[in-house]
Amino acid sequence: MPKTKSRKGKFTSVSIPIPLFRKIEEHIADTGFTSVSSYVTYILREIVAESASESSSASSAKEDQKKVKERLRALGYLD
Amino acid sequence: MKKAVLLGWDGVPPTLVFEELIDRMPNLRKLLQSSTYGPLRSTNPPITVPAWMSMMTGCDPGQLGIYGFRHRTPGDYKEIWIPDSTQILAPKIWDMTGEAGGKVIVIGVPPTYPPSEVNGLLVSGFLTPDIDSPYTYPERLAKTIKQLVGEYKLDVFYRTEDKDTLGAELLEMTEKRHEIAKHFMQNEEWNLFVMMEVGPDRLHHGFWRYYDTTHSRYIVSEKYRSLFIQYYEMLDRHLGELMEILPDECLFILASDHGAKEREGAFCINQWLREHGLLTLRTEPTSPTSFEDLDVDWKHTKAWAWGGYYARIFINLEGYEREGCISPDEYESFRDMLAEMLREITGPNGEKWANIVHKPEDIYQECNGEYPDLMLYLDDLHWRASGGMGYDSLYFYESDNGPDDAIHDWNGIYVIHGPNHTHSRRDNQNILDIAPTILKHLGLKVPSYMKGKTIRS
Repeated sequence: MPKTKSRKGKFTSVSIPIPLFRKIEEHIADTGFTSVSSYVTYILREIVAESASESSSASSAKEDQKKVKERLRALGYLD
Repeated sequence: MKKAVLLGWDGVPPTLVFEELIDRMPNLRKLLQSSTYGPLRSTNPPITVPAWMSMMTGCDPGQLGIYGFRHRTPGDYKEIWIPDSTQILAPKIWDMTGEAGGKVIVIGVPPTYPPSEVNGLLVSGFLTPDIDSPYTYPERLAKTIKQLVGEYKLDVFYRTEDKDTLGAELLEMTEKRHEIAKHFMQNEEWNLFVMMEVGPDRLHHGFWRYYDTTHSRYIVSEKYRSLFIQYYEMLDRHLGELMEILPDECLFILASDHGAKEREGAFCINQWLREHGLLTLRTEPTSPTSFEDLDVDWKHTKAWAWGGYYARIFINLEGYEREGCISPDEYESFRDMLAEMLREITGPNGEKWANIVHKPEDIYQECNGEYPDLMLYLDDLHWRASGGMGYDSLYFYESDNGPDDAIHDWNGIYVIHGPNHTHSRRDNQNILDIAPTILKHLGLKVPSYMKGKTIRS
């Protein structure tokens, strides 16, 4: 079996202005974020997820998810 | 277009029906005499979701980006989502058949809720919120079902000590599903007919310890052992009735998504990670607590896990996770070290376990979605993994969720009957072989991304 590397362990660079980088560094100083990269990734994921949920029938889907989740939990599938 | 039927029995292992119960299943016995059949290797992981969708799309779980009943919301340590039909992006065999002008009937395959538009009829499977949800396409089909069988049953709740009720509900559910299946098969137009019966899997979870005399917690009960066998006799009767109304020259496939075997117990994988200094809690749980309710000190946690039939291990990677603490530079070496440690986990008495550890990229064509960093099967699936903490021991047998007698196994079954198939047993078929076999019979193009091979006569 070939040993390939996970793309999870690979990152690509995105350029942001240095003053913004410094500001983010200050901004996350006392938060849980361990690096500017972690913070920027988190923010971008939020934006992407938000636009995805806007484009679907989010509220009924959420209610459906809740019901299915409860059943799966009771069956021990979410242990 | 020609015709094909795919009848699914959830979680049926080959030894059970090809050998142990074959004398109780005359229709299956007769079918085998003119069929190609054998064990069918399941997906990795061998779980209902993703296995049925791998069978229906010809894509492995990595291609589908579906690795089980739940998935991580990217960037969130605890938020999860459950896959529904909208997350299965690859076309199913019924989509391809419909696009080519063929009519389809689809019943009970997970996840097909919310029901998507098909060129025919669709009744969604057990991952439907409830019977009041619009569970059919077209929506008015639900009325026809009600007229035919009354209250339709999507699933039963098997984690219960009330075995009498469970047994009765199982029989009722399966009877009703087959009743509507036979009605549609005879009265509707179709080229592809797909039906999945979840009952066998529920029977195994609820009654395996009454059937399997080698089960470590075997209970002698003639009543429940008989019920187990009676269920299979009923399945066989329905199989015979479906075969009788099958059109000539129709390809008929009976298949299971995975097998079943005795469940030994559960192993607390996050407690184990903590014992090895890889996971840190801020607050100590005073009683068994599910992972989502634990107060994890993420900055000092290198890895955490989800339980289930397999453990999904996640590495707290800096830049990827919010409070990641493993740097990208050390990620691969840490992952290798952790994989080695996981392989060495032993049983409650220090006995060696046949653990299996995979890196997803090593076993899938591609990795989409939120895949784990490592996949762990404990003692070749005999032990479940539990993500909960606060247990007295790393090992436990029963949980607050109620009894569960069986666990999944790698091999389900396949039986293929139709033009050119004669009595022949073949032992090396894979769940990914089903979709191309059906497409080829229907005269449809097999997409190049499908890596399964047509099962020949």
